[in-house]
Amino acid sequence: MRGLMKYLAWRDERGITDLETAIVLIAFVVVSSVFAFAALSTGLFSSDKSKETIWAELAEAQGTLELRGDVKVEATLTSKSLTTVTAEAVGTGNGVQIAFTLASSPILSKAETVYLAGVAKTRDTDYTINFDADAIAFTSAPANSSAVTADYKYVHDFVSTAATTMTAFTLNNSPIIPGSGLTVYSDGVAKTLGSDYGVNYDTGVVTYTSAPGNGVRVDATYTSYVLRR
Amino acid sequence: MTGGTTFVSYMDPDTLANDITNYTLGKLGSADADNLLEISEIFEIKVDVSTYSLTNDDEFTINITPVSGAVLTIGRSTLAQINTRMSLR
Repeated sequence: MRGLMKYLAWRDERGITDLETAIVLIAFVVVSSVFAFAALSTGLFSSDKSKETIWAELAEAQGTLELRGDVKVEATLTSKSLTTVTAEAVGTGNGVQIAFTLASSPILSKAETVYLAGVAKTRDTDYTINFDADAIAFTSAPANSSAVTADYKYVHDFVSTAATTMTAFTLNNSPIIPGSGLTVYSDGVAKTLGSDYGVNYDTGVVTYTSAPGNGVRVDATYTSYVLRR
Repeated sequence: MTGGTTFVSYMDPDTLANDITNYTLGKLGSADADNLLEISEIFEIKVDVSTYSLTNDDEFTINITPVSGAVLTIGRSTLAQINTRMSLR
């Protein structure tokens, strides 16, 4: 009985020895450090690559020019306006000459008065006038040393002569600045924008609501522009 | 060192002018006499647009392309009323 109890009381202390523990520990540390190194170097490599890519792109995208201040534009305005001339001394009659020329052109059609020695003459009876050439031709030569004077208006854009059913006329310059003194005349009589005619400012086309009629001269005053820079 | 020139191009809905030669270069302020734009120099570029039929409320774009680096794009639209001198921001 005593022998048995001694046997039962003996504890078994066999287990993992110190050396085996150390070997397992070392192996564990080595493997984990290898894994850590692999993970770190992959991360470093990819961040290095992206840094290189960003620097390369910056060289292309970097702006070397910069706009200072604002952008300015200049326009050249051409103004066709109406000037009234009063009592212009056209010439002096000498009993022979019948043709006289007015100083400015083109003249606003049928808005002129020609005086011979201070007396107003009638168009087509006492004289004829060529509006394109600004030439007056008297039916009979003015008497010697009689003064020929004229009142007239001249406008810088004669548009055209209307044909029978023509309603659209194109101004010689476009585009036009709206509200810049645009006035259209038929045979010297000013027409009203909106009721007598309409205008396209970009193309310079004037459209009459009803055709002016054959032979009516259309003149206009306005301001047009060209953008220069 | 290789050289190169900066070229200017103009574009609007109706026209594309790729290499404008009729622009003038003005040197402002303390810029020296050469055509190289150095740091802190200001050049003024004047582009002649009279052949491109610009009217009011038109959009246009001017691209200035240097030899290296980004293209400077200037896109503006003209004002509703045309005067002799206008500032397009």
